[in-house]
Amino acid sequence: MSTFNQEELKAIAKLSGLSIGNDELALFTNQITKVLSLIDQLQTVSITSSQANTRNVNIMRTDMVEQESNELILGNAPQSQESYFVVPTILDEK
Amino acid sequence: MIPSFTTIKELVDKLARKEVTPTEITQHYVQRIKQHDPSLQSILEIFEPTNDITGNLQGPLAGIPFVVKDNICQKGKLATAGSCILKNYRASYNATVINKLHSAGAYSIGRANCDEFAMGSSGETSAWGPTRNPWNIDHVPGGSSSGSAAAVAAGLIPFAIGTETGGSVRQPASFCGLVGMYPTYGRNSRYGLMAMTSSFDQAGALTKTVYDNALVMSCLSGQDSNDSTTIPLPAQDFTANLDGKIPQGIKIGIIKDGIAASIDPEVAAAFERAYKQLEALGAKISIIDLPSLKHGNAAYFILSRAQIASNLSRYDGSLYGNRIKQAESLEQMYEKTRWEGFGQEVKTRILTGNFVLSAGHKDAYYNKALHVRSMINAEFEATFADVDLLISPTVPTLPFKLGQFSGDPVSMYLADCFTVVNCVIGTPALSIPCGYSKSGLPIGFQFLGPRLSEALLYKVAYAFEQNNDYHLNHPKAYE
Repeated sequence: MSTFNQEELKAIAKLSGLSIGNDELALFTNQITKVLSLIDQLQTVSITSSQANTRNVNIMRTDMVEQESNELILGNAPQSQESYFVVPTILDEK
Repeated sequence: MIPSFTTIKELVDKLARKEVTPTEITQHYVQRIKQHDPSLQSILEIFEPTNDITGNLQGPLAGIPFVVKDNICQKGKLATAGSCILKNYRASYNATVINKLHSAGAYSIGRANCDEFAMGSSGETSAWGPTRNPWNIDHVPGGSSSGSAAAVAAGLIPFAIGTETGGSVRQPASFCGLVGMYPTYGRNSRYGLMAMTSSFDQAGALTKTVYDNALVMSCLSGQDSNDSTTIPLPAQDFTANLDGKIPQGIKIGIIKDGIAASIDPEVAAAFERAYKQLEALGAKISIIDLPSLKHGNAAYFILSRAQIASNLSRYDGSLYGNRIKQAESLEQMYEKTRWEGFGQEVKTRILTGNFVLSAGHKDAYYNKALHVRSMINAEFEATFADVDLLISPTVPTLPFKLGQFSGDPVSMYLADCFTVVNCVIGTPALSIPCGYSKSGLPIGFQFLGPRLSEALLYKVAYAFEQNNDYHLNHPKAYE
């Protein structure tokens, strides 16, 4: 049975790009633990085949640019300037 | 004059006989939505008719309006997936299924409410408020295509498009007395559907009758160069063999778990009447044990949550959607935008998904689930060598009350046990009505078939439907 505690939750939250507050750690740890108990039953299943069959095949196409109006796309930007999306600074000015 | 509950077929006939004009049809449904939707909250927005709203007036769905689940892109229109994080997002293109419906002559008059990012089985996780079941507004319509189902059941629209990943079209169809199908994976294009679980997602129609559903599915389907997971087959007319007859001697297997003691007794009784009737109509009924079924829920959980975690990482406030007002860094912008923009169910699934993919856990969970999926597939293939179709109740419970599972989402997940397993392996299944509880709540059952068997599913379901009158029954409050 996998353990899932608040430390693990904080680490996963960081990887998930989610800023979880300290007062919410207990709630989410509890919820996820309940779900994990449901899926832990798979540990008892013995695998008969050596490989999972995923049946995936790559389908290729030519990489071609098609004209598309930028207005609708830039119109959704939370912040924009000319044809740029504006986000908080990535590089320090030093 | 358009009666409150009119099927697509009836509307097409009325248009052909010039008993009604396209404008009258549009006005009728816009009026019904404005009048009746406040009690249901199934429609998030009506697109007021413009001069060209009635489309090209050619094609099998010429002049027929529909509404679209909020997680499907319609160019220039809002699409929020029932989430705050996409509060003001306008789609910059049409989903392929929308283009296909336009080519068939149909036109969209609005967006339907849904569980947030299609995560839910009740309509209760929508950021814009829950949708209610027109058969009893204290009960849920099912989810995640909650608005799509409620709107059609209440006669607010002749058909609606939903999406399904583990039951999100069939379960609300069952809860609302409608027809809903999950097609073979790849039958319909996912281009323009906001991805939830890319290996399972498929668009589907919610309709009052089997014929209507087969007609819409025929228009939705087909290979798409924008979605390389679509099946390379020409379009198929699923209405072609609806003759009202069940193929004599067809072998139908009852899934053993579908008659277990844990099934709600009224659901069990309605299901028993249904399969006894199929037997009387000429089917050979047997009971089939599917041992891998009990692992279907767990495999579905793992595989879907892993993909959810990946698919929803694009919602970060940079290019579209909501962004928090103050952020000291790019990282903070991402993390706070996402924490505030997503609801609890979505966050729980993202966290669970990244957990099952993380180092030290991926083998035990994700890779194991992939193997279990192969096992389920092999078991189904072997079963379909012995029987032509399988049947089960669509849901083991009656439509539940709003708030019944708050604080206990795991029990709601378990109620998806009959719908998740075929989605995991990408085989089709069709839910149709088979009765009502004593209190008047709809009960549905489903046919499951091998890959590419949609025509047979529709044929058998149509025969069952025409031998009953469930499709002529409607929620009295919305007459």
